[in-house]
Amino acid sequence: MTEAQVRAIAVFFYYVLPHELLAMEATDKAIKELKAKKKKSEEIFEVLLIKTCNKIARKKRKEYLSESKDLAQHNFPKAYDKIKEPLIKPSTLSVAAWRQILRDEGHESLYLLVWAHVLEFPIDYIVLASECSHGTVMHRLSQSLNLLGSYLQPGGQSWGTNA
Amino acid sequence: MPKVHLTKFVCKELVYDYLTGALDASRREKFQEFLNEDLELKKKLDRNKHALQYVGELKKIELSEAYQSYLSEAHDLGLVEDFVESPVVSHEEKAPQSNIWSDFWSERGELLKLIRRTTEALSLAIVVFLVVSNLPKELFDFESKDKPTLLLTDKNKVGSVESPATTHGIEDEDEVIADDINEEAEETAAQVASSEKKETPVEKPEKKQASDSSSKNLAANVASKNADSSSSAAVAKAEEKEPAKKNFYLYRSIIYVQDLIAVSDEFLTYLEANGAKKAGQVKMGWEKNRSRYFHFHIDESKREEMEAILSKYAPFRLNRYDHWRKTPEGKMRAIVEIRQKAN
Repeated sequence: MTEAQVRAIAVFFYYVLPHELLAMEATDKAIKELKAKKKKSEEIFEVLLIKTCNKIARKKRKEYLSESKDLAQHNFPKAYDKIKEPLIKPSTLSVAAWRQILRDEGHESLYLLVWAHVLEFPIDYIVLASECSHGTVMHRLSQSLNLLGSYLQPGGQSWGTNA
Repeated sequence: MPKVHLTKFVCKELVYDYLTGALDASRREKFQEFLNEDLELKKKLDRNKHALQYVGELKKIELSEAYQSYLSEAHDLGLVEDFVESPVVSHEEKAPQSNIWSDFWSERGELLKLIRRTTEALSLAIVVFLVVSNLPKELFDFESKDKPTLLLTDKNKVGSVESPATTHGIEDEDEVIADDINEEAEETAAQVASSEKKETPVEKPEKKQASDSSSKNLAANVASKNADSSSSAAVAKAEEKEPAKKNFYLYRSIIYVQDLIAVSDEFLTYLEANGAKKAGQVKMGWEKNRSRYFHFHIDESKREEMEAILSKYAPFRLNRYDHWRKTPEGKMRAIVEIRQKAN
């Protein structure tokens, strides 16, 4: 597994899960699963990566919602305590709008937006991992971008300042 | 250039394609025409542009060194280099990595796989061995399936044995031994048939013991005879070294006669008159097909007389073969088969 792939996994979970600790836990799980699957599966690794991460993200989100969003009851590894800031954001970036849309919508088409525009995975891989047509993927991307735009417009959530 | 017809509705759906440059030139031109006319479409385009710019900011995020080293240690990833600035995962990344740690772990993975497979194979072999070793030996003793159970009738009469002498008149000893087995099989078959009429007081454990030892001794005899034929000097040395080992013999022959009944009756009369006793399981002169079968004990001194009687009808000589079965001292065991000569 390359540095870029590990980074992609960590960033993906950071953006699609509502909490940093959950994202770290999901990242650990995804890396473990992918290391095991890599030997057995003959699938393109990037496709496998997208599939695995999407599945874990869905599961973690479900767990988070079933635990009434109370992470105090969740037992995270102690090693996480030493990592105060897992991801470093540019000073100009605010993820408040993104978090808001994630909380409000939680739509899986946002996953596509992360894969395609944040992590810049090739569309073909995303299509293969999504197991739907190219047109469907493009339509969902269009929808999610439009949704994000509506949150960012004047009167909605601001961006470009620290959250 | 083909004329493209676009509606306002379709143009709204094509905003994403317009922004990502996925529209062809004619559609792009048409889209721009609508954009100048439709304020709502322009607003949507601005919103999407805004969103794309925001997403462009999102991708500038990087892992902290602490998190990077944690992931490297926790998953043995060997992430020793700085993360690349571009997060693009290209096809080239599928090429083998020149990372020492990756190579080490991949090699170790292969080694572990090899060890696992070897262990599985060994376990399987052990299981098969245990299963096979616990199965009854009769299942694998294919030769003895055709063999009868040999009965040792003269066991109690064992005394000292005659001195070993050279074997003569043997053309194919293995064939003779095989014949002997067949003869005894026939005898056993006859005994089974006769035992239905009257019970013979034969101890079963003895039978089994005799059967087991017979096959072993037969094999030993074949081996020893092969050794004899290969080197007589070696045999002499072996005899010197093992004086305790004594040989026993079986005399046997087959004679073809014109008048089966007359000759066999004469021979039977002679045997009965000279104290011969049946040695096998069937009576002396047992009839089978077009022959009569004599398996008996008699004084060794009568050998020449017997040969003389039967030589009147056809050339006859009793051939001597090594045999595992013990013979009482001064006695000889013989099998003579008188067969009807074909016309």
